[in-house]
Amino acid sequence: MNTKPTAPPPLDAEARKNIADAQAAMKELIARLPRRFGYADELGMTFRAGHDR
Amino acid sequence: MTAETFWTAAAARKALAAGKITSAALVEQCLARIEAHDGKVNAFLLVTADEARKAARAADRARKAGKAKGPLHGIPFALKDIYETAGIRTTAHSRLLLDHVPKADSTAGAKLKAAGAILMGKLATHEFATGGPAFDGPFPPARNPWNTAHFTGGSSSGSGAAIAAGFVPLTLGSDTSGSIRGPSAFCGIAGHKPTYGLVSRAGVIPLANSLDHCGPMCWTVEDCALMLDAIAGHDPADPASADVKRPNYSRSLAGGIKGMRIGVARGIIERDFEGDPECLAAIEAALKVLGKLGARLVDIELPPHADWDACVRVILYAEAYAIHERDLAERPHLYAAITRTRLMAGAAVSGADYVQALRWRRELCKTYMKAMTGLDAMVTACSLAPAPTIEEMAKPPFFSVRGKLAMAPFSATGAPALSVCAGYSSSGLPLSIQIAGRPFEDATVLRVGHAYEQATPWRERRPAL
Repeated sequence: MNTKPTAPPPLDAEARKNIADAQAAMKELIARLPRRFGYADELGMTFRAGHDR
Repeated sequence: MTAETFWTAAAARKALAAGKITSAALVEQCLARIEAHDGKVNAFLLVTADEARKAARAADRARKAGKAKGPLHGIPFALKDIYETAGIRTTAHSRLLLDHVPKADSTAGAKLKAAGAILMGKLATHEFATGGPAFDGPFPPARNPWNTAHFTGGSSSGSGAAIAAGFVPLTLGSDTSGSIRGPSAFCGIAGHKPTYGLVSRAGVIPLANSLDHCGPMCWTVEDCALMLDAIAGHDPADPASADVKRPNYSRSLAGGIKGMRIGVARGIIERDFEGDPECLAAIEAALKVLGKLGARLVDIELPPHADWDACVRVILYAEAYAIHERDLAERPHLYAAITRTRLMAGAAVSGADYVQALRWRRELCKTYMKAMTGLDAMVTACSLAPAPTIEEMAKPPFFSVRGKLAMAPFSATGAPALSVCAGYSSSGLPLSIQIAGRPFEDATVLRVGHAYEQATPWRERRPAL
């Protein structure tokens, strides 16, 4: 017999408010991101420490 | 032998080699100290006493037979509970993993065992290396041994507390956005975030792949170097692991810093934070010590810390949310509130936001390397305030920056960064400086830290528990 897991209890209002506040704070961080990068910068997203040694 | 004895790994190594102590006795001392004091500190989630005693007896037999395994033979260590341990519960301090018993050791843990070290147990962490301090988790949060009303820093909270309390001489922490250096600063110990890729993360529960680092947290820089010698090296099991030639970090400590050019990131110290006066005075005093040791100090400029912080946290929480997306949807109530809240912040990051942050990171890395031109190392603040109270840190808002921790540049660049104790506040809490370098020049960073430690009296004081 397969028993389906029950849905978790809904998050209470305080938990939802904390998440909304955190996501608003994240949006502020996102607003600091530069959006000027163009085609030539695409390889820049590959990360490895010491690239520029 | 009493519960009041403190050991560094370097001292234990000499005493063991000289036959002045046995591994069995060393393990008993650690267990006695844990038994006497961890009820107040909560550094350990699990003490593996029986296994440790058995391993210590075997280590003593092997030493007697002339078959010591390596430089850490018979020396106790403990692991942040995100390092998987074969047959031993690994929880990440989370209700989601209370039954998680891995089949294999993490690469770093296995290397410590191969070097002869003895596992004493698993240490408290912030849940999944991000959510804490939390009083609604499955275990209580670790507390600062210098004053148990205060925060250890996180997320390697148990590692910082265990070392400061003298429970073990060696621990491993992990650092995604400061989780080795923050607790090291607040607990008054030495914590080294190695260059990204120098130490394998295989078998370590991830937070954010492109930012996760594993590294040593010990009482002294010398012990960090000993530990790094054992755990550094290429590991095909970690795709980010770097295949680079590396020096012997312990031997590289000698020689002092005379003639070194050391950059001082003054913007972080004076512009980006409103530093606590005692912290600022400790940093200035530390710079004078480095100058007296013969280093030439040069002021350098880095972009504002808020830029580094934004770049790191967008990447971090985008990656972390991807890992936890399913559990957050299906069983969010199992997370501590602070963990759930922080991870859910990642849901607000779009794919384009994430990619822009990665591109920005590359640009910031270039800026960092330019700032390091002609320099051997860099010094700046680690925390610009002593440890706050744990109650204060456990309250919402959970995602806002509330401390004065200045670690993001070295998280973003993957550059080596070391926190060392730089004295104590008038209330008896540790103060710190941060020493950083070029990627893979960990040996230079450790050498500067060691020279500073040797020239200052801060290692002579221990917390009174």
